[in-house]
Amino acid sequence: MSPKPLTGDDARAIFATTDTSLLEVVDNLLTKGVVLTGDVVLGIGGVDLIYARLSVLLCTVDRLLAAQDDVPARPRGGRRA
Amino acid sequence: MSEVYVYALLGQVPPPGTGAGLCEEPLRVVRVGELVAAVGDMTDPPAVSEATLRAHDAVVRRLADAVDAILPVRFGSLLSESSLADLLAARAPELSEALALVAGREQMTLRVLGDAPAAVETPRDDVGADALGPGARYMAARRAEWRRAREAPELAPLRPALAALVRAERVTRHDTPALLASVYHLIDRGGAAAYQAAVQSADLGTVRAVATGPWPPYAFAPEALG
Repeated sequence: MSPKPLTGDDARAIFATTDTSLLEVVDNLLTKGVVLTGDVVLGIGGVDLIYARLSVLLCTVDRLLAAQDDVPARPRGGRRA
Repeated sequence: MSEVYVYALLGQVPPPGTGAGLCEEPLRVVRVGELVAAVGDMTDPPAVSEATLRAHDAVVRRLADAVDAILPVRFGSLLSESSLADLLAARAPELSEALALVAGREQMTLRVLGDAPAAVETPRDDVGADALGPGARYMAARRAEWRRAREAPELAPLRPALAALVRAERVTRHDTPALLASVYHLIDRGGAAAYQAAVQSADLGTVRAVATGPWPPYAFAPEALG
């Protein structure tokens, strides 16, 4: 399944309707992505989304929503270095 | 062996009353020369979840409110106290400089949203590129690429209004619609309302900019524990 690309208006709507502070916390805390490898599962608005970075969420939210059935695991914690 | 979970590097020892860490462990400091690290004692790294991420952020925010200068450390940094001391000692000059930059300041995050990246302007030093050899052309292209990765030309109309507020900038380009770039600005503490007003009154044409903050200066912290 090929997700349709998000437009600028779509992205603005995401900022307007989701918990922006959580998105920013994820971006701030995981932005380097070195200590944490693998995906992080978080719930936003009652919907579980997989993402490691804010940018990934914004660019691939359609795909992520479609792929929920394929999510293999709940939050995987800790360092994997 | 017991390890320490690192929340942030601080410009000074915080006053008492900054609360507990994300596992409810007491916070304490590790001092190495003039550097101060805020840590909690843990045996295992915390699991990644919305709750633990928010808890880590809450600890960093409390520390930020208690001191003038803070360099937040990313989630999941657990190491022995001696390793921490070695890392801090090895990078003390760089970290002290970074602490000086963020002192009395906080971060605003600007998301640049649009359907297409800004058109690439031909860098001035590429003029006459035909006269260059293949190696020089390659290096010129690399230089242009490097420069472009650190710029946000979409914000040009906003620059004059922000000039008086912004003390430092970091840019991460994504160039994948709809998120074109993330721009992190260091501003003086208390300047968030003026910053938001400037962003909201700017006309960026087809591009939109969404500002959030103030945040602790996450984007201005070197990878101290990397």
